[in-house]
Amino acid sequence: MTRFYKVLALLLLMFSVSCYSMPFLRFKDYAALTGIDLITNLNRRIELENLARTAQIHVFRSTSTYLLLTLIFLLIALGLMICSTLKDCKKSLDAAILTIAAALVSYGLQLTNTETSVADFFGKILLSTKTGNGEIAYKPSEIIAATGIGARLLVVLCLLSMALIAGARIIAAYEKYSDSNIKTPWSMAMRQFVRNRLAIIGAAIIILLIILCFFGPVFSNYSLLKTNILTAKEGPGMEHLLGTDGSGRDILTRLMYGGRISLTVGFVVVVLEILIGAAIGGVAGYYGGRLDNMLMRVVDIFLSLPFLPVVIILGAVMSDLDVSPQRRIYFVMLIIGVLGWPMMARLVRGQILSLREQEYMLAAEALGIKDRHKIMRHLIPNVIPTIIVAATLAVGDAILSESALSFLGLGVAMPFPSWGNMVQAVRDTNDFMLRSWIWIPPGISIFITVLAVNFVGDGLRDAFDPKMKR
Amino acid sequence: MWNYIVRRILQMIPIIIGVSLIIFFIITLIPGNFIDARAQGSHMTFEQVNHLKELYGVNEPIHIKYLKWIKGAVKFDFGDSFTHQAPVSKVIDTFVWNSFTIAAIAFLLELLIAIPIGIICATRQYSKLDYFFTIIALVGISLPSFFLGLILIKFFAVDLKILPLAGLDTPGSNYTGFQFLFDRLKHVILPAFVLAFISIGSMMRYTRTAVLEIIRQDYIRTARAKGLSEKVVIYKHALRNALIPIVTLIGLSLPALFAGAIITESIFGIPGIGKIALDAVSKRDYPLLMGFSMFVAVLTLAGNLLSDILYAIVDPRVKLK
Amino acid sequence: MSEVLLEVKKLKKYFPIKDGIFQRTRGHIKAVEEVSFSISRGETLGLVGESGCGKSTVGRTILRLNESTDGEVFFKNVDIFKLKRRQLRSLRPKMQMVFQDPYNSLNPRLTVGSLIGEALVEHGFCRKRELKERVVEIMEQCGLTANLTDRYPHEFSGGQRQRIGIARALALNPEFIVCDEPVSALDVSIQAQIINLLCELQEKYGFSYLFISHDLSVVRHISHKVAVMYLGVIVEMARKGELYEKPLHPYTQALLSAVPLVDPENRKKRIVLKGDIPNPANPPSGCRFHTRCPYAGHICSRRVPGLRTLENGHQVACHFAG
Repeated sequence: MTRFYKVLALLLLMFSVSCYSMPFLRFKDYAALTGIDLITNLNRRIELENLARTAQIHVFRSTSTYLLLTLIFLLIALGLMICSTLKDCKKSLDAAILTIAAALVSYGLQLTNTETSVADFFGKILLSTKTGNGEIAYKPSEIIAATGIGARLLVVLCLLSMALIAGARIIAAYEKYSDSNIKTPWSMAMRQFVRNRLAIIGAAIIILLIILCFFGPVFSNYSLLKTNILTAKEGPGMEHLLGTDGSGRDILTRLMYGGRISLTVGFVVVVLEILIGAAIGGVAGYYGGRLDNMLMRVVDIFLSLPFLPVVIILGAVMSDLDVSPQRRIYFVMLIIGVLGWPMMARLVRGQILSLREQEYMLAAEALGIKDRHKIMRHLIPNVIPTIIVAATLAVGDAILSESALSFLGLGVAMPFPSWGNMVQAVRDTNDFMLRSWIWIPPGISIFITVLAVNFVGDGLRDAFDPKMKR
Repeated sequence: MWNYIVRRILQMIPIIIGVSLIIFFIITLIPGNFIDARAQGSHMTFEQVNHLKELYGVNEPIHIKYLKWIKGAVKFDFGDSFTHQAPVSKVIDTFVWNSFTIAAIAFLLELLIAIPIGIICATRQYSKLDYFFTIIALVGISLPSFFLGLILIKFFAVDLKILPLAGLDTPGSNYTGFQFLFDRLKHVILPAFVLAFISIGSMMRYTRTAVLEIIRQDYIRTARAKGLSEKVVIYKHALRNALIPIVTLIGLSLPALFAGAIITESIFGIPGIGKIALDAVSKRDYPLLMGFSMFVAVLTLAGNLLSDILYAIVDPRVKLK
Repeated sequence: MSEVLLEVKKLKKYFPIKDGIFQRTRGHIKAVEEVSFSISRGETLGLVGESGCGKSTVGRTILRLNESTDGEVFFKNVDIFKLKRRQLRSLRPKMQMVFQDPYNSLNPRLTVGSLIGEALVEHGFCRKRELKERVVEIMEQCGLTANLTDRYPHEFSGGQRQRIGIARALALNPEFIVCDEPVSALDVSIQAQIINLLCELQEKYGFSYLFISHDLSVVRHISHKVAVMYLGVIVEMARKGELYEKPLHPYTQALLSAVPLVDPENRKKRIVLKGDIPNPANPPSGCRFHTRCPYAGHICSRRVPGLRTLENGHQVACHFAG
């Protein structure tokens, strides 16, 4: 990678570190808090400087541990970049990419605090009052807050430097692998994948969506839950890009939060399905005999269960058991995952059964290779492509299931948004007919996400299929 | 052949038992019961409520409830539905045909559209047409069914006003004969289209893959080399073999034909078995729920069996073990 | 005569046929019926027969890749079938196999170097540092150049893949190698190369081979002894010269008559066997060949002819031969 890009990335990183000195939280009538304020006062209460000279004392309690972590990662990345520029070392470049990724993940985690106010990303604003006996008590405060330029710039700069370094690295790797002399099975598959236009578009969409949903809220002035009757049911405009819903909440912001849920559900469910399904399918396929029979009976039972009815019933059970809205999300993921693993188990078992008969497995036995090495070195690498393709397509299914469930009111519960339950607005016929900005954007979001995932899954399937050579 | 069928049916029995256990267990997780729910806000006395509970066997221990239910289930008697005040089997029978009509129309549409298009895509692999239809297929499987339904309603019923909003028949009308059919058709076409659109995608790609496999075979090359026209090659030689996997798809579609599309029916207000099931959930009508779930489970297993049998019939190479 | 390395005694392998509602075992495919032979150090036994006669099954069962139904196999006087898994595994390096299908017998996701070196590491024959050297050494023995260690199987031709398969078998310094139709999937010109390689290696290292094939001319080149199999039974076994000059069993005679000869003046009369090969699940009674034998007599359907030893160690399973 040329020096120019490295130096540019270095500058971006330095700039992003300097963001910490810029305001992260702005308040109406109170002085702003910078990033440095936030990380140097972890879990302590900072008194906000009162600009309007009112009598109230507002205090901020910072919980920005992840913010501190992000800074640490950024500093490490900076160091690595300097090292790489001076010594032109490839390993430190790769390490830098990983560190910036870690910084982004950590910042993303910081931004998962969502409550009534936007300031909740970094902590809580409290109003200090004097109780009857002269003691100081703290109540949640209602002052207007918004994220500052520092917080927003940090996202942009991190993403830019990541894009720059990772992008240049990928292009270099791509050039290396385009050379047809490198013929590992994985690189061949990758080359095939990259040629598939739809797959690349899908992958790009997914990356954009992840960035938008996890980092987008930092750019919004509106909170997730705070209702405001005055601004209810307004159409799209300058203030609210996608309008407001029935309770006056900004649709675009809720769309982003809803996206977090849908994407997380999709991912977690599939991980669950792989862990359970691939393990059980693998064991059944490899050992065969009675174990296989028993396990496949169980799989058959689960596969015969009517998916939607059972999931709906479980959703109703959750409502009756008064599961809190926060907990419901976890249960929804568990339910969809538990009903979905049999399909994966069957696929893996089928693949292993056919692989077991390959002569190289027999050869491995003749060579005296131990069972567990046979599984790890010969079986698993040949099963992984199947699992990857099945998993990708399962993500799409999981997102659709979750949204259907939430649409029926049995999944993620209000007030927390999920793309599915935002479409519930159609229950009000007026909203359905006249205010389509409330329910159409979430529907389209689901569609685009699942479409992108399916493009990628399709592309992967073609890439791994040995018969599909042009 | 009969050996095989009997063996498969015997294998299905433990599965059905397992399914019934799971369904029963899940439903008993629902706290509360319908009697208490109804009794709230009414003027029933404590004794009356208890009496009703005794009558309906609400207080009995779980395994007794299960055994009682299983005994009836074997005879297709799933008890009486609480909300409909009628035997569950009769309730299912009344409403399932509405679902069947829509599902059957959708299925027909699917077959008529997906198979020819799949063949065309396979014969013109990698062409612009193939690309175009692949995208359509992927769109079909990516669209959430409820969203598609809502969009269609908004467009056709609200904006254009040419199709009705919901229901199976125009309320208050007393059409007969041709007018009745026409009215029914207007109501049914959108839900059928939704169901069809969602499934066309996968059927189309399945057909395409199947035909592609066949076309690559040597006997197709031979047919072409003999000088047969492309049409004959495709329709006489390739298709007959490609139909094999397609026919098995038909067997697997059996449950969908009867089990109703729960979400689509709710959106379009079609009084079909799916919507009834959804209502049963909100009203905690267990007998109906359990009966319906078992109904779908048995249909799924029967569909698998049908698909395997059709496969053996159509493919002369297959010998059922 | 050198020591006897491998001794097979009355090897039997039946495959159960399951049928009916409850998958009861209705019968057996009698793939291998009382096969006995022995191989000395440095010797090659060629095992010929048509497809489906059970020769591959014999090869696999000897190496315990299939569990036998009955019989014993002694390798250097150790009864292989009685060994526990761990003992068997430590014995494996001595008995190796080269497979028929060059496309399927190599894991497509491993490099050639890993394929060959895997067993070395597994059994601890080699330290990590020396591994690459050793692998290159073996590859060069088999006619593969050293720079190919990082390539993948799909980059090679069939003949080269078979060399890789042989190299893999060689890596463990075996004493006995089962070659299961190693050249059947290759072009004729390549076949010669591979056969020559196997011969060279045998001369150099003193391997014993069980060379399984359906091609009589190929077997002739490499074997010292030849055994002919029909429907799971060895019908004739003799030293190579004996068998090809003076075949005694009617089946062997028919097989040899079918071999195309280059010299048009030396054409023998072609013996065509009548009938089809019977179902191995229901083999004919007595001599399994009697249904197609031009010399079949009354006794042939009644009594099973065992392998009779005639002069020169020539063995025949026929009531009338010799």
